[in-house]
Amino acid sequence: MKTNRSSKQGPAITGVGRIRVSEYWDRSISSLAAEAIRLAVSNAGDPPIDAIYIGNAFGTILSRQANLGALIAAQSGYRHLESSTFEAAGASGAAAVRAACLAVESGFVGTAVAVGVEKISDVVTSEAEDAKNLTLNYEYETAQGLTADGQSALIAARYLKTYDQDRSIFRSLVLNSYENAKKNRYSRNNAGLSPNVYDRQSCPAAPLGLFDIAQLSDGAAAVVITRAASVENGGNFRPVRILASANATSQLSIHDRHQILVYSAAAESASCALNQAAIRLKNIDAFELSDATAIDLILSLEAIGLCRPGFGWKADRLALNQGGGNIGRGNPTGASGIYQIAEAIDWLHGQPAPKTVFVQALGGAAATAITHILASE
Amino acid sequence: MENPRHWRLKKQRYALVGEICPHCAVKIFPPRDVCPECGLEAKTSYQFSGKGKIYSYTKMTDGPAGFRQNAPYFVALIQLNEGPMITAQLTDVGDEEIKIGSPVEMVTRKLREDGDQHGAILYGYKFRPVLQEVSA
Ligand SMILES: [Zn+2]
Repeated sequence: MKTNRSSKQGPAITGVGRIRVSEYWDRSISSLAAEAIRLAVSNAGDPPIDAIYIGNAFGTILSRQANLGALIAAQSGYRHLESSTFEAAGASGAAAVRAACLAVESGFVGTAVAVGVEKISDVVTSEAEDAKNLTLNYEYETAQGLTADGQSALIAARYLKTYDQDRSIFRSLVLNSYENAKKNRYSRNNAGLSPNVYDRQSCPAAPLGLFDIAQLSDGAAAVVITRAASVENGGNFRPVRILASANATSQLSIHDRHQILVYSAAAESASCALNQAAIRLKNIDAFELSDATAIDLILSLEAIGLCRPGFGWKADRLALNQGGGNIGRGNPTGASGIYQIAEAIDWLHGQPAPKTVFVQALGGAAATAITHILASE
Repeated sequence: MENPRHWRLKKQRYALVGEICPHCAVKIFPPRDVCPECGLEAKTSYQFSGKGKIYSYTKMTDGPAGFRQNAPYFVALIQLNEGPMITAQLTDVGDEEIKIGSPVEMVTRKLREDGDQHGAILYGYKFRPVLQEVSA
C-alpha cells in the first residue's frame, strides 16, 4: 500500500524527557519512569495525556514487579489512565513508541506518552547479567550455559572467520562511540575511552572484549506523541514527525537462522520503514543504530544496506550514533529505544541539522528489529 | 525446580530426538511440530546421529547461575551432519584443539548444578572432538 503523506499526516513527537543513564541505587523503577514522563509532558507544554505505553525488559525479574502500567501511571500523577507494558528485550522502548503511533493514528487515543525504563541496580551485577540472558531460548541456549554476550560472541567469531579478520575491527567503532558519548549530557560515560585502556581490556566472551559490550545501566526516557494534524506550532519544542514505524522479527535462537551473519529482521524492518516513508536509504541524513555489542552495530549496517557484507566495521563516513549508542552512552535495555529517539531528535534540533534520521532498535541478537524514521517539519 | 520442564525435554537432551518433515523431508532440531521450511505439520520423530562440525565457538569466562562455578568453558554452534544447527558446550578439549570446522560428536554430561541449590542437577548433550582415525 502506497500512501502519499502531506506534511500534516502521521504521528508527531511534541516533547522529550530523559534522565541521565547511570546507576540509581536510591530510586525505584517507578520513580525513574515518572520523572521521565513528567519531563516529557512538561517539555510538550503540559497537554492532556490519554495513555502511557511503557517499554521495559526486565522489571518483572529485577524489580519483581509486574503491571508497571498501573504503578507508573499513578506515580506520574495520572488517575484512571490507560497504561500497559510492551516487552521486546532491547527493542522494548521502540515497541512502546510504535504502540503510541498506532494508538494516535487509530483515533482511539489523542495524545500518548511512550516511556522506556530499566532498573538494573535493584540487584547485584550477576543477577542483572542473568536477567539479560532471558532474551535467549531458555531450553536450548541458556540450558547449555550460553549467555546473551556469548550469543553475540558466537556471531562475532563466525564473522571474523568468514571475512578473515581479527578482533581489531571492533576498535574504532567502540572508540568512536565513547567519543560521541562525551557530548551527550545524558550519557553514563563522559570521559571518553583511551585507546590504551581499550587495548588492555579483558575478553569475557572472546572475540568480544569488555568494551565491545554495552554496559547494562539504569535509565528512563519518554516522548509525547500525537497526530501531526493536531499539533499547534509555536511552543518551546519544535515538533518532529514520525514518517515510518515498522517491526519485524526473525528466529529467537541464532542456531535456527539460515544465515547467522545476516540480521534479516533488521533488513526487513528497515525496508518496510523506508517504503512507508517513501524515502530512499541514500536520502536519509543520519542514523541511530542498535549496539548492545559491537557486532550488532556491524551487522545492522550490513543488513540495512549501508555497508556491503564484510565491511560493516568500516562505516567511517556515516553520520552514526551521535549520542554514543548503547556502547558509549550505556545500555538501559528497555529504555534504550527511546534514548535513541531522543538522540535522533537532538540531531534534528541541532546545528547543522539533518532533515531525516533513521532509528533502529534491536531486541536480543536482532530477533526483533523496530525502525522509526524521524523528520523535522 | 522446573521438574516437569526437564522431564519434557529429556528425549532431546539425552538422545537428540528431533523431527523429520513428512512433506519436504527436512530434519528438525529442536522439535517444534511445524516445519520451519515449508510451514506444514511435522510431528514424525527423528533421532540425530550426534555427529557434526563446529560452526562457531566462544570461551565463556563467566557463566550464568548454575554454570558460573564451571567457567571457563566453551559454547559452540554445531552444524549437525543432518543439517540443523544447535547450541552446545564443548567438552574434553583444550584451547589449542578447537577450530571452526572441526568434527565433533555428542556425549552426555552434567550440564549444570541447580543455580538456586534446590538439588536438581541437569544432564544433557555436549560435544567432544572426534578422534582422527589413523589409516593403516
Ligand atoms: Zn517441511
